[in-house]
Amino acid sequence: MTPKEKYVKALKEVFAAQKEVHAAENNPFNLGMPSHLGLSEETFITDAVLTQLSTEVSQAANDNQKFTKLWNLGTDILLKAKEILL
Amino acid sequence: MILLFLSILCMSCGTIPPEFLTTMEKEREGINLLKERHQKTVYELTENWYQERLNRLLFIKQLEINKIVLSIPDTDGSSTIEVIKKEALIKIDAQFSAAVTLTTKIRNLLIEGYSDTSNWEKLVKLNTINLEMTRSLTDLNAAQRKFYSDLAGKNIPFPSDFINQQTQELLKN
Repeated sequence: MTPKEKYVKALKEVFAAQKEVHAAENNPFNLGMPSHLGLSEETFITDAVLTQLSTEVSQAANDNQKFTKLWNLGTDILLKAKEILL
Repeated sequence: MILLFLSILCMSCGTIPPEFLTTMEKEREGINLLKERHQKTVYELTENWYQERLNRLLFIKQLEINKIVLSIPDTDGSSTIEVIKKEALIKIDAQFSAAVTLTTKIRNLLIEGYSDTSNWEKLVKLNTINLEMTRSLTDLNAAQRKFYSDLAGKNIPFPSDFINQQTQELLKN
């Protein structure tokens, strides 16, 4: 693109922007945006930490459930043994 | 020997009162209740803003239309005919429609921006994690209590209950 073409292009953009500004200023329905559109991105825990917690605690809870099954199994075995022995 | 084994085994048993699980479930209900109330509040406040702005736009539209209405005396001279400039009316209508579309977009931005969905979801997720752990501990504790009750006897207090009872008595004294 030659310097002259660049100049013409930039000039067209300026005219288009001026036209938009003029239209906005003369538009009686242009009431503007609210001063705030929402809360900040503040959070109490990051996604990474939450995922890590979820994985570790789920594993521990799963281990507890397995251990519960073992307890129940052990109870059944010992009760049978108690019946036979006593 | 067996008694010693049982004593050691049962002394190691943890105790999880059923109230723990109830508390966690109530916490989940509380989180869901507050989440719904927050969402409702955000929606209602935004809806109020939206309705006010729509009314203002309608008011402006009427003002603009009034500017392009011409009153011409009727041929009989007893009344007037109102004439509206067609091109100007089309322009006003287009500007009004664009403003309504923008207002609807802003309303959606406001609801999304103030709903704090991410933090609420994290709270629910944390509660689910805690609930899962509490359920597993409660089940384990029930299994341990059943084991103790079946082997040591139903009338003998569970070790941790016994300790708790003694502690309570000591505290009273």
